Amino acid sequence: MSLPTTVTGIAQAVRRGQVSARAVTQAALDRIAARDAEIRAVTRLLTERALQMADALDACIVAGEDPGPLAGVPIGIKALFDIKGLPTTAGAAMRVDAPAAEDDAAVLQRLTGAGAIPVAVLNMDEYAYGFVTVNAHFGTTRNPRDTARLAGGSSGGSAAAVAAGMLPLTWGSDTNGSIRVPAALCGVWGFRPAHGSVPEEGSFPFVPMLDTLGPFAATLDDLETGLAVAMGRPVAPLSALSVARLDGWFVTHAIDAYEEIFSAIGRVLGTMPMAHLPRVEAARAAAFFITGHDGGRLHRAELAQRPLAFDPETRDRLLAGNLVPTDLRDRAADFGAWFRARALDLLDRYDVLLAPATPDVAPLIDNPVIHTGDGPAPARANLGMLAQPISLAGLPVLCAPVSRPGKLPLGLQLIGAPGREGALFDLAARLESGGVLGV
Amino acid sequence: MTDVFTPTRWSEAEILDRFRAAGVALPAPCLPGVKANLALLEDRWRVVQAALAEIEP
Repeated sequence: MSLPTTVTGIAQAVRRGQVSARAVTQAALDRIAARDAEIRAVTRLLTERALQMADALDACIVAGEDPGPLAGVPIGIKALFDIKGLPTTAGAAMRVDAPAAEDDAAVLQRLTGAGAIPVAVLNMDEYAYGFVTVNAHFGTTRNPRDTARLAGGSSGGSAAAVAAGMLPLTWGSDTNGSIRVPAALCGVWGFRPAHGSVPEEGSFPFVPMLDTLGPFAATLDDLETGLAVAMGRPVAPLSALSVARLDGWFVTHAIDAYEEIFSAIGRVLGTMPMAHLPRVEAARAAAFFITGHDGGRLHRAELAQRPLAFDPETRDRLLAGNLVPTDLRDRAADFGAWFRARALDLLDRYDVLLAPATPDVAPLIDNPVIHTGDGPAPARANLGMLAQPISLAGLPVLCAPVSRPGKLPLGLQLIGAPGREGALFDLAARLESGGVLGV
Repeated sequence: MTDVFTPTRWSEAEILDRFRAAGVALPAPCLPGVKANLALLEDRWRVVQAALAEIEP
Protein backbone atom coordinates (compact mmCIF):
# COMPACT_ATOMS: atom_id res chain seq x y z
CA MET A 1 0.00 0.00 0.00
CA SER A 2 1.09 3.59 -0.49
CA LEU A 3 2.30 5.27 2.64
CA PRO A 4 -0.27 7.33 4.52
CA THR A 5 0.63 10.97 5.18
CA THR A 6 -1.57 12.02 8.10
CA VAL A 7 -0.93 11.32 11.77
CA THR A 8 -4.08 9.27 12.15
CA GLY A 9 -3.49 7.44 8.87
CA ILE A 10 0.11 6.57 9.73
CA ALA A 11 -0.66 5.43 13.26
CA GLN A 12 -3.56 3.28 12.12
CA ALA A 13 -1.54 1.60 9.35
CA VAL A 14 1.48 1.01 11.58
CA ARG A 15 -0.63 -0.39 14.43
CA ARG A 16 -2.27 -2.81 12.01
CA GLY A 17 1.09 -3.84 10.58
CA GLN A 18 0.10 -2.61 7.11
CA VAL A 19 3.22 -0.45 6.83
CA SER A 20 6.41 -0.47 8.86
CA ALA A 21 7.52 2.40 11.04
CA ARG A 22 10.92 2.14 9.33
CA ALA A 23 9.35 2.77 5.91
CA VAL A 24 7.40 5.75 7.22
CA THR A 25 10.47 7.16 8.94
CA GLN A 26 12.67 6.70 5.88
CA ALA A 27 10.04 8.38 3.72
CA ALA A 28 10.03 11.41 6.03
CA LEU A 29 13.82 11.59 5.87
CA ASP A 30 13.61 11.38 2.08
CA ARG A 31 11.06 14.22 1.93
CA ILE A 32 13.30 16.38 4.10
CA ALA A 33 16.29 15.61 1.86
CA ALA A 34 14.28 16.59 -1.20
CA ARG A 35 12.75 19.79 0.13
CA ASP A 36 14.72 21.31 2.97
CA ALA A 37 17.66 22.69 1.03
CA GLU A 38 15.22 25.32 -0.22
CA ILE A 39 13.12 25.81 2.94
CA ARG A 40 15.76 25.51 5.69
CA ALA A 41 13.33 24.36 8.34
CA VAL A 42 15.63 21.65 9.72
CA THR A 43 18.74 22.36 11.76
CA ARG A 44 19.61 18.76 12.66
CA LEU A 45 18.49 15.34 11.50
CA LEU A 46 18.08 12.56 14.05
CA THR A 47 18.50 9.79 11.48
CA GLU A 48 20.26 7.15 13.53
CA ARG A 49 18.03 7.49 16.58
CA ALA A 50 14.90 7.68 14.41
CA LEU A 51 15.65 4.49 12.48
CA GLN A 52 16.56 2.65 15.69
CA MET A 53 13.28 3.74 17.28
CA ALA A 54 11.37 2.72 14.16
CA ASP A 55 12.92 -0.73 14.19
CA ALA A 56 12.13 -1.13 17.88
CA LEU A 57 8.55 -0.06 17.25
CA ASP A 58 8.18 -2.50 14.37
CA ALA A 59 9.41 -5.25 16.70
CA CYS A 60 6.71 -4.28 19.21
CA ILE A 61 4.05 -4.59 16.53
CA VAL A 62 5.30 -8.06 15.58
CA ALA A 63 5.19 -8.99 19.28
CA GLY A 64 1.53 -7.94 19.43
CA GLU A 65 2.05 -4.78 21.48
CA ASP A 66 0.29 -1.47 20.80
CA PRO A 67 2.74 1.46 20.73
CA GLY A 68 -0.03 4.06 21.06
CA PRO A 69 -1.94 6.71 19.11
CA LEU A 70 1.19 8.15 17.48
CA ALA A 71 2.62 4.77 16.40
CA GLY A 72 5.36 5.37 13.87
CA VAL A 73 4.47 9.03 13.30
CA PRO A 74 7.58 11.02 12.31
CA ILE A 75 7.72 14.30 14.19
CA GLY A 76 9.95 17.36 14.33
CA ILE A 77 10.67 19.51 17.35
CA LYS A 78 11.76 23.10 17.75
CA ALA A 79 15.39 23.46 18.74
CA LEU A 80 14.52 24.38 22.33
CA PHE A 81 13.39 20.90 23.44
CA ASP A 82 15.90 18.70 25.24
CA ILE A 83 16.89 15.60 23.30
CA LYS A 84 18.90 13.10 25.30
CA GLY A 85 22.56 13.14 24.30
CA LEU A 86 22.44 16.41 22.32
CA PRO A 87 22.99 20.06 23.20
CA THR A 88 19.80 22.12 23.31
CA THR A 89 20.73 25.13 21.20
CA ALA A 90 17.48 27.16 21.47
CA GLY A 91 18.61 28.51 18.12
CA ALA A 92 21.79 30.04 19.55
CA ALA A 93 25.17 29.52 17.93
CA MET A 94 26.79 29.92 21.34
CA ARG A 95 25.04 26.76 22.54
CA VAL A 96 26.12 24.32 19.83
CA ASP A 97 28.75 23.02 22.28
CA ALA A 98 26.52 23.17 25.36
CA PRO A 99 26.45 20.08 27.59
CA ALA A 100 24.29 17.30 26.20
CA ALA A 101 20.81 16.95 27.63
CA GLU A 102 20.53 14.11 30.13
CA ASP A 103 17.01 13.21 29.05
CA ASP A 104 14.30 14.05 26.57
CA ALA A 105 11.99 16.96 27.39
CA ALA A 106 8.85 15.92 29.28
CA VAL A 107 6.54 16.59 26.35
CA LEU A 108 8.84 14.67 24.01
CA GLN A 109 8.69 11.73 26.42
CA ARG A 110 4.90 11.80 26.22
CA LEU A 111 5.01 11.87 22.42
CA THR A 112 7.55 9.08 22.06
CA GLY A 113 5.70 7.13 24.76
CA ALA A 114 2.72 7.18 22.39
CA GLY A 115 4.85 5.88 19.52
CA ALA A 116 6.07 9.09 17.83
CA ILE A 117 9.49 9.06 16.21
CA PRO A 118 11.49 12.31 16.34
CA VAL A 119 13.37 12.73 13.07
CA ALA A 120 14.39 16.41 12.97
CA VAL A 121 15.26 19.45 15.05
CA LEU A 122 13.67 22.61 13.66
CA ASN A 123 14.79 26.19 13.16
CA MET A 124 13.76 29.16 15.29
CA ASP A 125 14.65 32.73 16.14
CA GLU A 126 17.51 32.78 18.60
CA TYR A 127 16.18 32.08 22.09
CA ALA A 128 12.64 32.36 20.64
CA TYR A 129 12.88 36.16 20.66
CA GLY A 130 11.31 37.01 17.29
CA PHE A 131 8.42 36.50 14.88
CA VAL A 132 10.42 35.82 11.70
CA THR A 133 12.82 32.83 12.01
CA VAL A 134 15.70 34.81 10.64
CA ASN A 135 18.64 33.25 12.44
CA ALA A 136 22.16 34.60 11.97
CA HIS A 137 23.69 31.16 12.52
CA PHE A 138 21.13 28.60 11.33
CA GLY A 139 19.73 30.64 8.45
CA THR A 140 16.34 32.01 7.40
CA THR A 141 13.43 29.58 7.13
CA ARG A 142 11.50 30.25 3.93
CA ASN A 143 7.74 30.04 3.64
CA PRO A 144 6.77 26.92 1.65
CA ARG A 145 3.70 28.73 0.23
CA ASP A 146 6.00 31.35 -1.34
CA THR A 147 9.71 30.91 -0.76
CA ALA A 148 10.37 34.61 -1.29
CA ARG A 149 8.50 35.22 1.96
CA LEU A 150 9.16 34.70 5.66
CA ALA A 151 7.74 31.68 7.46
CA GLY A 152 7.06 33.68 10.61
CA GLY A 153 8.38 32.75 13.99
CA SER A 154 9.76 32.00 16.33
CA SER A 155 8.63 28.43 15.60
CA GLY A 156 9.09 28.99 11.86
CA GLY A 157 10.87 25.71 11.21
CA SER A 158 8.01 23.81 12.86
CA ALA A 159 5.32 25.47 10.73
CA ALA A 160 7.33 25.28 7.52
CA ALA A 161 8.13 21.58 7.94
CA VAL A 162 4.40 20.81 8.05
CA ALA A 163 3.47 23.26 5.29
CA ALA A 164 6.14 21.78 3.00
CA GLY A 165 4.80 18.25 3.60
CA MET A 166 8.05 17.12 5.19
CA LEU A 167 6.44 16.07 8.48
CA PRO A 168 2.81 15.55 9.55
CA LEU A 169 3.26 16.76 13.14
CA THR A 170 5.75 19.15 14.69
CA TRP A 171 6.15 20.85 17.99
CA GLY A 172 6.93 24.46 18.87
CA SER A 173 6.58 27.02 21.63
CA ASP A 174 4.43 30.13 21.95
CA THR A 175 5.30 32.94 24.33
CA ASN A 176 3.92 35.96 22.50
CA GLY A 177 2.57 34.28 19.36
CA SER A 178 5.39 32.01 18.22
CA ILE A 179 3.04 29.18 17.24
CA ARG A 180 0.14 31.29 15.96
CA VAL A 181 2.19 33.64 13.77
CA PRO A 182 4.05 30.99 11.75
CA ALA A 183 1.00 28.70 11.60
CA ALA A 184 -0.99 31.57 10.09
CA LEU A 185 1.67 32.67 7.63
CA CYS A 186 2.43 29.13 6.45
CA GLY A 187 -1.22 28.04 6.31
CA VAL A 188 -1.21 25.14 8.78
CA TRP A 189 -3.05 24.30 11.99
CA GLY A 190 -1.43 25.29 15.29
CA PHE A 191 -2.39 25.25 18.94
CA ARG A 192 -1.23 27.39 21.83
CA PRO A 193 -2.31 25.45 24.93
CA ALA A 194 -3.50 27.14 28.10
CA HIS A 195 -0.51 28.12 30.17
CA GLY A 196 0.57 25.14 32.26
CA SER A 197 -1.53 22.48 30.52
CA VAL A 198 1.44 20.87 28.71
CA PRO A 199 4.55 20.04 30.80
CA GLU A 200 7.47 22.38 30.14
CA GLU A 201 10.26 20.51 31.91
CA GLY A 202 13.22 20.06 29.60
CA SER A 203 12.38 22.94 27.28
CA PHE A 204 14.60 26.01 27.12
CA PRO A 205 12.61 28.84 28.74
CA PHE A 206 12.07 32.36 27.47
CA VAL A 207 9.43 34.09 29.65
CA PRO A 208 8.13 31.44 32.07
CA MET A 209 5.01 33.48 32.88
CA LEU A 210 3.93 33.31 29.22
CA ASP A 211 5.68 30.24 27.75
CA THR A 212 3.61 27.37 26.34
CA LEU A 213 4.42 24.34 24.15
CA GLY A 214 2.13 23.23 21.35
CA PRO A 215 1.67 21.36 18.06
CA PHE A 216 1.47 22.11 14.35
CA ALA A 217 -0.33 19.78 11.92
CA ALA A 218 -1.75 19.63 8.43
CA THR A 219 -5.20 18.46 9.58
CA LEU A 220 -7.45 19.37 12.48
CA ASP A 221 -7.71 15.74 13.61
CA ASP A 222 -3.94 15.43 13.69
CA LEU A 223 -3.66 18.60 15.73
CA GLU A 224 -6.11 17.27 18.31
CA THR A 225 -4.38 13.89 18.47
CA GLY A 226 -1.00 15.50 19.12
CA LEU A 227 -2.39 17.91 21.69
CA ALA A 228 -4.21 15.18 23.61
CA VAL A 229 -1.05 13.09 23.91
CA ALA A 230 0.94 16.10 25.12
CA MET A 231 -1.69 17.12 27.67
CA GLY A 232 -1.98 13.55 28.90
CA ARG A 233 -5.75 13.57 28.50
CA PRO A 234 -8.27 13.67 25.67
CA VAL A 235 -9.73 16.96 24.56
CA ALA A 236 -13.16 16.89 26.21
CA PRO A 237 -15.89 17.21 23.57
CA LEU A 238 -17.80 20.49 23.85
CA SER A 239 -20.06 22.44 21.54
CA ALA A 240 -19.32 26.05 20.65
CA LEU A 241 -22.84 27.45 21.08
CA SER A 242 -21.98 31.12 21.28
CA VAL A 243 -19.27 32.73 19.18
CA ALA A 244 -18.24 36.37 18.87
CA ARG A 245 -15.67 38.37 16.96
CA LEU A 246 -13.32 40.61 18.95
CA ASP A 247 -13.66 44.25 17.95
CA GLY A 248 -11.41 47.31 18.23
CA TRP A 249 -7.70 46.52 18.09
CA PHE A 250 -8.36 43.23 16.31
CA VAL A 251 -10.33 44.94 13.53
CA THR A 252 -8.27 48.10 13.19
CA HIS A 253 -4.97 46.31 12.74
CA ALA A 254 -6.03 43.57 10.31
CA ILE A 255 -6.07 43.86 6.53
CA ASP A 256 -9.39 44.18 4.70
CA ALA A 257 -9.29 40.57 3.51
CA TYR A 258 -10.43 39.55 6.98
CA GLU A 259 -13.79 41.29 6.44
CA GLU A 260 -14.65 38.79 3.71
CA ILE A 261 -13.53 35.96 5.98
CA PHE A 262 -15.72 37.09 8.88
CA SER A 263 -18.64 37.55 6.50
CA ALA A 264 -18.19 33.95 5.39
CA ILE A 265 -18.03 32.82 9.03
CA GLY A 266 -21.24 34.73 9.72
CA ARG A 267 -22.95 32.91 6.87
CA VAL A 268 -21.92 29.53 8.29
CA LEU A 269 -22.87 30.33 11.88
CA GLY A 270 -25.91 32.45 11.09
CA THR A 271 -24.75 35.26 13.36
CA MET A 272 -21.52 37.01 14.27
CA PRO A 273 -21.83 39.46 17.17
CA MET A 274 -18.92 41.68 18.08
CA ALA A 275 -17.39 41.45 21.56
CA HIS A 276 -15.19 43.97 23.31
CA LEU A 277 -12.05 43.08 25.21
CA PRO A 278 -10.90 46.24 27.01
CA ARG A 279 -7.41 47.78 26.86
CA VAL A 280 -5.95 45.39 24.33
CA GLU A 281 -3.19 47.80 23.35
CA ALA A 282 -2.06 47.90 26.97
CA ALA A 283 -2.13 44.10 27.09
CA ARG A 284 0.17 43.95 24.13
CA ALA A 285 2.43 46.55 25.72
CA ALA A 286 2.48 44.72 29.04
CA ALA A 287 3.42 41.42 27.39
CA PHE A 288 6.19 43.20 25.48
CA PHE A 289 7.48 44.88 28.65
CA ILE A 290 7.42 41.71 30.76
CA THR A 291 9.14 39.83 27.94
CA GLY A 292 11.94 42.39 27.79
CA HIS A 293 12.51 42.21 31.53
CA ASP A 294 12.27 38.45 31.99
CA GLY A 295 14.12 37.52 28.81
CA GLY A 296 16.87 40.00 29.59
CA ARG A 297 17.34 38.74 33.12
CA LEU A 298 17.35 35.11 31.94
CA HIS A 299 20.34 35.79 29.68
CA ARG A 300 22.13 38.40 31.78
CA ALA A 301 25.07 36.18 32.70
CA GLU A 302 25.78 35.29 29.06
CA LEU A 303 25.30 38.90 28.00
CA ALA A 304 27.92 39.88 30.56
CA GLN A 305 30.39 37.22 29.46
CA ARG A 306 30.08 37.21 25.65
CA PRO A 307 27.55 39.68 24.26
CA LEU A 308 28.96 39.55 20.76
CA ALA A 309 28.23 35.83 20.53
CA PHE A 310 24.49 36.60 20.35
CA ASP A 311 22.54 37.18 17.17
CA PRO A 312 22.62 41.01 17.00
CA GLU A 313 18.85 41.26 16.58
CA THR A 314 18.29 39.26 19.75
CA ARG A 315 21.16 40.71 21.72
CA ASP A 316 20.13 44.36 21.66
CA ARG A 317 16.60 43.53 22.81
CA LEU A 318 17.85 41.30 25.61
CA LEU A 319 20.35 43.93 26.69
CA ALA A 320 17.73 46.69 26.78
CA GLY A 321 15.40 44.48 28.81
CA ASN A 322 18.03 44.31 31.52
CA LEU A 323 17.41 47.97 32.32
CA VAL A 324 13.67 47.49 32.90
CA PRO A 325 13.07 47.92 36.65
CA THR A 326 11.61 44.82 38.26
CA ASP A 327 9.01 46.78 40.21
CA LEU A 328 7.62 48.16 36.95
CA ARG A 329 7.64 44.69 35.39
CA ASP A 330 5.58 43.54 38.36
CA ARG A 331 3.14 46.40 37.79
CA ALA A 332 2.77 45.23 34.18
CA ALA A 333 2.03 41.75 35.53
CA ASP A 334 -0.63 43.28 37.81
CA PHE A 335 -2.24 44.71 34.70
CA GLY A 336 -1.98 41.24 33.13
CA ALA A 337 -4.05 39.77 35.99
CA TRP A 338 -6.72 42.44 35.45
CA PHE A 339 -6.77 41.78 31.71
CA ARG A 340 -7.04 38.02 32.16
CA ALA A 341 -10.03 38.51 34.47
CA ARG A 342 -11.76 40.64 31.80
CA ALA A 343 -11.04 38.01 29.15
CA LEU A 344 -12.50 35.27 31.36
CA ASP A 345 -15.56 37.47 31.99
CA LEU A 346 -16.08 37.62 28.24
CA LEU A 347 -15.63 33.86 27.97
CA ASP A 348 -18.45 33.43 30.48
CA ARG A 349 -20.71 34.95 27.81
CA TYR A 350 -19.16 33.34 24.73
CA ASP A 351 -17.72 29.87 24.19
CA VAL A 352 -15.27 31.08 21.54
CA LEU A 353 -13.85 34.46 20.60
CA LEU A 354 -12.49 35.00 17.11
CA ALA A 355 -9.67 37.28 15.97
CA PRO A 356 -7.16 37.44 13.13
CA ALA A 357 -3.84 35.80 13.98
CA THR A 358 -1.64 38.30 12.14
CA PRO A 359 -2.32 41.75 10.70
CA ASP A 360 -1.23 40.75 7.19
CA VAL A 361 0.05 37.90 5.02
CA ALA A 362 3.67 36.70 5.15
CA PRO A 363 6.08 39.54 4.36
CA LEU A 364 8.80 39.35 1.77
CA ILE A 365 12.21 38.30 3.07
CA ASP A 366 13.86 41.14 1.17
CA ASN A 367 11.32 43.75 2.30
CA PRO A 368 9.92 42.65 5.67
CA VAL A 369 7.06 45.13 5.97
CA ILE A 370 3.42 44.42 6.85
CA HIS A 371 0.31 46.57 6.83
CA THR A 372 -1.39 47.40 10.12
CA GLY A 373 -3.96 50.01 11.10
CA ASP A 374 -1.04 52.37 11.53
CA GLY A 375 0.11 51.85 7.93
CA PRO A 376 3.23 50.01 6.77
CA ALA A 377 5.20 48.69 9.73
CA PRO A 378 8.31 46.55 10.32
CA ALA A 379 7.31 42.90 10.33
CA ARG A 380 9.70 41.83 13.04
CA ALA A 381 8.16 44.10 15.67
CA ASN A 382 4.52 43.88 14.60
CA LEU A 383 3.67 40.41 13.28
CA GLY A 384 2.65 39.38 16.79
CA MET A 385 0.53 42.40 17.66
CA LEU A 386 -2.76 40.45 17.48
CA ALA A 387 -1.40 37.34 19.22
CA GLN A 388 0.52 38.97 22.05
CA PRO A 389 -2.49 40.29 24.04
CA ILE A 390 -4.02 36.81 24.19
CA SER A 391 -0.75 35.43 25.54
CA LEU A 392 -1.02 37.83 28.47
CA ALA A 393 -4.45 36.40 29.26
CA GLY A 394 -3.00 32.85 29.30
CA LEU A 395 -5.82 31.41 27.21
CA PRO A 396 -5.79 28.38 24.87
CA VAL A 397 -5.90 29.36 21.21
CA LEU A 398 -6.47 27.21 18.16
CA CYS A 399 -4.86 28.89 15.16
CA ALA A 400 -6.71 27.84 12.02
CA PRO A 401 -5.70 28.28 8.39
CA VAL A 402 -8.28 30.20 6.38
CA SER A 403 -9.26 28.50 3.12
CA ARG A 404 -7.90 30.84 0.43
CA PRO A 405 -7.09 28.84 -2.70
CA GLY A 406 -4.53 30.62 -4.82
CA LYS A 407 -3.86 33.30 -2.23
CA LEU A 408 -1.27 33.70 0.50
CA PRO A 409 -2.31 32.12 3.82
CA LEU A 410 -4.04 33.94 6.66
CA GLY A 411 -4.86 32.52 10.07
CA LEU A 412 -7.68 32.87 12.53
CA GLN A 413 -7.38 32.71 16.32
CA LEU A 414 -10.13 30.67 18.02
CA ILE A 415 -9.81 31.67 21.66
CA GLY A 416 -11.41 29.81 24.55
CA ALA A 417 -11.33 29.32 28.29
CA PRO A 418 -8.77 26.97 29.87
CA GLY A 419 -10.13 23.43 30.06
CA ARG A 420 -12.72 24.11 27.34
CA GLU A 421 -10.49 23.40 24.34
CA GLY A 422 -13.17 21.08 22.94
CA ALA A 423 -15.28 24.08 21.97
CA LEU A 424 -12.41 25.36 19.81
CA PHE A 425 -12.12 22.06 17.96
CA ASP A 426 -15.90 21.88 17.54
CA LEU A 427 -16.08 25.33 15.97
CA ALA A 428 -13.01 24.72 13.79
CA ALA A 429 -14.58 21.53 12.44
CA ARG A 430 -17.83 23.31 11.63
CA LEU A 431 -16.05 26.15 9.88
CA GLU A 432 -13.91 23.68 7.95
CA SER A 433 -17.05 21.83 6.87
CA GLY A 434 -18.49 25.18 5.83
CA GLY A 435 -15.51 25.83 3.58
CA VAL A 436 -14.13 28.76 5.58
CA LEU A 437 -11.15 27.00 7.13
CA GLY A 438 -8.71 24.40 5.89
CA VAL A 439 -5.27 23.85 4.42
CA MET B 1 8.95 52.69 44.22
CA THR B 2 8.59 55.03 41.24
CA ASP B 3 6.53 54.54 38.10
CA VAL B 4 8.99 56.56 36.02
CA PHE B 5 10.83 54.81 33.18
CA THR B 6 12.22 57.31 30.70
CA PRO B 7 15.41 55.87 29.21
CA THR B 8 15.19 58.19 26.21
CA ARG B 9 16.21 60.93 28.64
CA TRP B 10 19.27 59.05 29.78
CA SER B 11 22.66 60.10 28.44
CA GLU B 12 24.88 57.46 26.86
CA ALA B 13 27.15 57.66 29.90
CA GLU B 14 24.16 57.00 32.15
CA ILE B 15 23.13 54.00 30.06
CA LEU B 16 26.63 52.58 30.31
CA ASP B 17 26.65 53.19 34.06
CA ARG B 18 23.35 51.40 34.47
CA PHE B 19 24.68 48.40 32.55
CA ARG B 20 27.82 48.38 34.66
CA ALA B 21 25.64 48.36 37.78
CA ALA B 22 23.88 45.32 36.31
CA GLY B 23 27.22 43.60 35.77
CA VAL B 24 27.25 44.03 31.97
CA ALA B 25 29.98 45.89 30.10
CA LEU B 26 28.10 47.15 27.06
CA PRO B 27 30.15 46.85 23.85
CA ALA B 28 30.08 50.07 21.81
CA PRO B 29 28.52 48.46 18.70
CA CYS B 30 25.47 47.52 20.78
CA LEU B 31 24.63 51.02 21.95
CA PRO B 32 22.50 52.21 18.98
CA GLY B 33 20.40 49.03 18.99
CA VAL B 34 20.02 49.13 22.75
CA LYS B 35 18.88 52.76 22.67
CA ALA B 36 16.29 51.94 20.01
CA ASN B 37 14.96 49.07 22.09
CA LEU B 38 14.91 51.15 25.27
CA ALA B 39 12.79 53.71 23.42
CA LEU B 40 10.32 50.96 22.47
CA LEU B 41 10.20 49.73 26.07
CA GLU B 42 9.59 53.28 27.30
CA ASP B 43 6.73 53.65 24.85
CA ARG B 44 5.19 50.36 25.93
CA TRP B 45 5.53 51.22 29.61
CA ARG B 46 3.75 54.51 29.01
CA VAL B 47 0.78 52.60 27.56
CA VAL B 48 0.70 50.19 30.51
CA GLN B 49 1.05 53.01 33.01
CA ALA B 50 -1.89 54.88 31.49
CA ALA B 51 -4.04 51.75 31.64
CA LEU B 52 -3.11 51.13 35.27
CA ALA B 53 -4.00 54.70 36.16
CA GLU B 54 -7.47 54.20 34.68
CA ILE B 55 -8.28 50.81 36.17
CA GLU B 56 -6.89 51.24 39.68
CA PRO B 57 -8.88 53.07 42.33
